[in-house]
Amino acid sequence: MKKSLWILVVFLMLGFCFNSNVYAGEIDVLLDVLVEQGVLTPIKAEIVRDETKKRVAEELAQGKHPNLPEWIQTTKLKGDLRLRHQWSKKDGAEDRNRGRYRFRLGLESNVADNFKVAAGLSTGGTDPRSTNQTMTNNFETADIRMDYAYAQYQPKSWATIYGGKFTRKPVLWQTGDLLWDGDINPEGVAVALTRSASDDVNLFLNTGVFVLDESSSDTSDPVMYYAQPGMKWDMGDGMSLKMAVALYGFNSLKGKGNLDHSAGTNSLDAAGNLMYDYNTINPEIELSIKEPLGGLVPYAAMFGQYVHNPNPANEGDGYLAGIKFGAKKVKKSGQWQAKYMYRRLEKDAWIDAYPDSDSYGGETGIKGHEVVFTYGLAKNVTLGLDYYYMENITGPTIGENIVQTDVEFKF
Amino acid sequence: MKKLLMLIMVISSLMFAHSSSAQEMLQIKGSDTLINLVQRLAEDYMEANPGKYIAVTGGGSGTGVAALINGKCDIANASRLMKSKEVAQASDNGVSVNRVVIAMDGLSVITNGNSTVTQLTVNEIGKIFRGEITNWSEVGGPSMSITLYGRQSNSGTFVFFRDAILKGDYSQKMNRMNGNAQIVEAIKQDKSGIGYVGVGYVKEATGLNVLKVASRVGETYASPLNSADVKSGKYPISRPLNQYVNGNPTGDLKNFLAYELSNIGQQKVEEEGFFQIPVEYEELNAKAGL
Repeated sequence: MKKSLWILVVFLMLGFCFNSNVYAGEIDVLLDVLVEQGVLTPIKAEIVRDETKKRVAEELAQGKHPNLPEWIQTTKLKGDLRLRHQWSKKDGAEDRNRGRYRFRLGLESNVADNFKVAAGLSTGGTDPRSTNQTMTNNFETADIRMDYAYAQYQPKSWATIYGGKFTRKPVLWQTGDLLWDGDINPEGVAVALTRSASDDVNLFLNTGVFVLDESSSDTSDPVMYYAQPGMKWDMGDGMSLKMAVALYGFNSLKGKGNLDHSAGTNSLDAAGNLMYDYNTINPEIELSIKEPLGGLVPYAAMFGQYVHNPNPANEGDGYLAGIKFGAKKVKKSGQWQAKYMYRRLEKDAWIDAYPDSDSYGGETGIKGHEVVFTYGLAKNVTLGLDYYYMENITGPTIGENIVQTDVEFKF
Repeated sequence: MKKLLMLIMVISSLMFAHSSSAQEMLQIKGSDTLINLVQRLAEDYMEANPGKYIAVTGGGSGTGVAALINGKCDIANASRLMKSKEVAQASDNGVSVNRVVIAMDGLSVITNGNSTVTQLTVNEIGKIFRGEITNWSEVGGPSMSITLYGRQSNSGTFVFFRDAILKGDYSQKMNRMNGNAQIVEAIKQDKSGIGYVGVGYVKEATGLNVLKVASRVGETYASPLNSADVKSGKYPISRPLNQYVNGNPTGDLKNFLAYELSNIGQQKVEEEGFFQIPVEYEELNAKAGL
């Protein structure tokens, strides 16, 4: 076949490829054939391959791919399923074995330039600190609840505004779950700002107002407002330091009864109302290192968080210190991460409705150890082992051991 | 506490709302393979153009690409191609990436100067770095364990070599070095060693074997030191060395890129041990107005 005819075939086929939902692998095969036939040089093929990949990536990112419905390009779906066996034993009580599962499904859609909407459904009851469903009640069907639903507006590249019931991570940075259980998705309004101070230093500020309760018979509904200025410094040689200080303020909390889903461990007055304010200060710090020890492990980090409540004379402090190493995130087969944390959270250091619910039932007035090991069984499939030993700080010591064995599937 | 909290919220908001001042210096960041070459080009350009300032820093291709995506540099040096995910992130951030190729590299597989193994196929190299071949006797050498030297994961060379040659994961036993120069020095000291570096780091080096490589058994073995074989792609581990910019370059940025691609710039490319770009990449660069 003449070379010019081959070139015609090439362009017809490439044209066909671009107008069909063809996979990159098929274009690779086609280009390889054309190189073998001498129609294209290897370099020309590499350029076409790269430009095709770039064009498709940009079109998909902008929702402008000509052959896919716009909603598919502008909407992302994600979810996960976690299967868990949990063994727990508290001193003086019988041990307990539970089969549990968690299913979450979320979507995020670009509704217009700079505007996004996201929503997620999850198993679990009304407890904001747990999305687990225990296997029980003779195959009873499980509840699905609204885990989060929010709108996001980004007027500038450095500013994002969130409203509704949103995920916490983008609006409040925490190195551990001393204060905030990972399942809590706050409600209200929040703003996340970020700015470069130099090539290596990024500043950020998270701030917002969270609505805690609403009562038709009481005009002073409790709200929480916070500001968290912080910075991340890329120190070179794969080292980075991130730190922040969160300041929390609460309206209409002291002198009222416990919030919903309280663990019941904060101090109460004789009338059964909260004895103290919880306007607290919460510094966070994390030092991370890529490939330390000559690349022996790909990633390591040391982290810590502290909380101080100035209102009570005693029992108003808490801290968590930890170390993790292995893969930064376990996503693929054979990757692993090990993590150790020690925590101490005094009785009135923080509201007892928010700490990690697996640490002694989410109570305050506790201390103890947690060790986590995660291993990648396959792409997006992990095996996790999580061991807790926690005990109460005051009174006769009652320890609790928990072992959670998880298999988690993400999609 | 409440007043303090409000004060911090207000002051911080004002600070973040304040615009940053315009950059007066071209910022170039990224590949360690490219850093010596681009520093040389930048120094010569500044000498020829008083009053123009260019800062060149390394950190790896991933670092440079991330900086470009986040608007923290003008040029990202990359010894690999940008990934689809990175292109999409850039697009999300309003950055329209344009690729400029400034040099060709024959990524060189090196052994100690005393090694008797002088050539390998791509398949054999892949097996060695995946940890499936662990003794030199399996590829015609003496009975001696193989010691692997490679780069860290933020390196474009690490990614390129993995994707183009290994097509799998590196052996867990590979020593992960900070840069090309460290690999060269390690191999010089280690009779059992094998590593990969940009050709610019071995052209003048002594005490090393630069291996000839064939695409497969039966094909001709080619050397990365042969300019024609690298440019034509006959040497199977040749690769373009890229610079990514946001949109079509203008002003000082365009002038510097044009200098890199000029006859004088390309001469310096050769002097630094790399190879001038072939005509296909000249056509690609022309699309960016260069």
